[in-house]
Amino acid sequence: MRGTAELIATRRAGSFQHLTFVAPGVGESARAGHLVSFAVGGPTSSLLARRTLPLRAVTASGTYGGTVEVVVEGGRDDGTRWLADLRVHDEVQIIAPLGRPFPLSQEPVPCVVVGVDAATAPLIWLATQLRDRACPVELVVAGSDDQHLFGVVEARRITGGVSVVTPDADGLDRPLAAAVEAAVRRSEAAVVYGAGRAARMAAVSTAAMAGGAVPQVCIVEDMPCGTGLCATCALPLVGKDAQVHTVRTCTEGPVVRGDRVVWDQYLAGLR
Amino acid sequence: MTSPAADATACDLTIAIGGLQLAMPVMGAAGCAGFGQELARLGLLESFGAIVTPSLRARSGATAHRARLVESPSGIVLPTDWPSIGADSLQPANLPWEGTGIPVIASLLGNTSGDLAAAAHGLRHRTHMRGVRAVEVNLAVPNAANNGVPFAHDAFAATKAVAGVRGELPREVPVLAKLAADVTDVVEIARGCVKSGAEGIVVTAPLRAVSLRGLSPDLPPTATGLSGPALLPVTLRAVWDLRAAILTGRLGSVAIIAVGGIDSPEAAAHAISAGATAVQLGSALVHDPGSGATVSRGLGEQCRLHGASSIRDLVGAAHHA
Repeated sequence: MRGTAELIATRRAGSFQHLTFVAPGVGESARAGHLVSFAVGGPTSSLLARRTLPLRAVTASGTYGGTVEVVVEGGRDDGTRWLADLRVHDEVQIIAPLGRPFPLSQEPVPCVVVGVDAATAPLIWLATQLRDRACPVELVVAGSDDQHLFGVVEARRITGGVSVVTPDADGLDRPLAAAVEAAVRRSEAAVVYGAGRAARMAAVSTAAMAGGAVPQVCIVEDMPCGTGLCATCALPLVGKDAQVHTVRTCTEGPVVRGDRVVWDQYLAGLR
Repeated sequence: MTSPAADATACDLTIAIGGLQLAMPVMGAAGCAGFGQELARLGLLESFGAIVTPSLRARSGATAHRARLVESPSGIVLPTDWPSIGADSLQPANLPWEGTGIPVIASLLGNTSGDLAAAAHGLRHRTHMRGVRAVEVNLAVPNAANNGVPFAHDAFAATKAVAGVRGELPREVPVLAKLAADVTDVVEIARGCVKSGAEGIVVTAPLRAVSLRGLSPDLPPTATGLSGPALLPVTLRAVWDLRAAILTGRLGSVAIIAVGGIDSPEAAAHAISAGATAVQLGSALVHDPGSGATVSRGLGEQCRLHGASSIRDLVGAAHHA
């Protein structure tokens, strides 16, 4: 769907804003891990780059004829601040669904689902789908601080196995990796699903591989067009031919195999 | 909703750039329109007369920095030499623009005139020019043989680069020279390109810029450019100067293609009335991939508004007002 979406609900959630838009036609094809891309700033905006975010949830039909939900961190930049400040009945141009969603296991294998900051949003949706397929699910919800934890209550409604992680004196990566390793060990997980900024997903992938699980990570970094046209969200990925290929996070991702990302090269380019 | 094609029946939007005939005077600019597959997936390709590919080098290879986009007011700042696939890695049986059906203009990039000629050679031999209707030479990149001064800033270097590319391509494939407007005299640079066989001049490439974060460069200062609506008046100036030079005989007859800040039918009409035969959309597509349809459709309206039966009647109209 490419068109105008109307905001019908906005509510604060810690440091984030949880937005619900009427967007007919998205819910029928969207899956957890898919993206939605927003033109920000309104018709006279001087902001050219779009803001591309993972979908938190969708409804295919209902009172409003189909909705999409996203969670925005308003303090990240001018564009996300504009999105977070939208008021009910405001309209915004969107394109959705975009990208490659989380692949779901055909077998009821144990899974660990790890979300960091606002990127936790799509994982509640994913965890529900996994649980419905009889996959035992453990959730790890991490935040840069208490205000950046999202979805802890919802996570506990889905499963009893929820770990909440906040930074220690050295930052978030070490406790996050420790929590993922412990969850993988405990559940003997075959797959670790993650979503968050690239540096966090590098830590999650390493921890998943250490426990023998396959990391499927949704990388949430800047995707200025969301459609693959600008190619500035390039991600180095080792292909099946063992060669490094550059793919676009917004079209060939955002969900990729964490064990195939050339993290050092990618993270160096993000700095 | 009226399609651009339907508009074309009311107002003739067909144009010619040398031997290149296009159904629409609107193109997707290099680096902002992909290879056409992305727009095709969104059902938006039919709004374009042609797509300019991301710039191809002779050989694939990483650059020292990642392609990254930084916002500035009404503009975007980004590296002008980001990594792209090399002509050497094009698969003849599976070209990236395969199946789109859109006329393709291959953009070439290199840091010496020899690199550019090698890219043209590779393109010809790897693709047999299948689907390639023209070649655009990106001259707004550092010339390693001239202390990093862009080809587009030096008439001799630009002349030599275009001649090298021209010599590698079949005569029937038009060569377009992409120049930058941040020079003292864009006409002088264009004259050299036309002498070397360019059938079209594309202005303006991103203007040289620097982006800082804290006290350090955010992007490589040697190859950083500013694009976006902020450039429109500069683009119009360059198009105006080139058209005026053609009218006075200082510059030979050559098609002018406007790029830089075109994001609406009005901006496209201004560029055409200043002297452009066609326009390219760049950052407008990043913001709204549907802007091609908006501009194509709107140009039909602009024709009617000005009582023209063909978009060609508006080319250079501002010089006679």
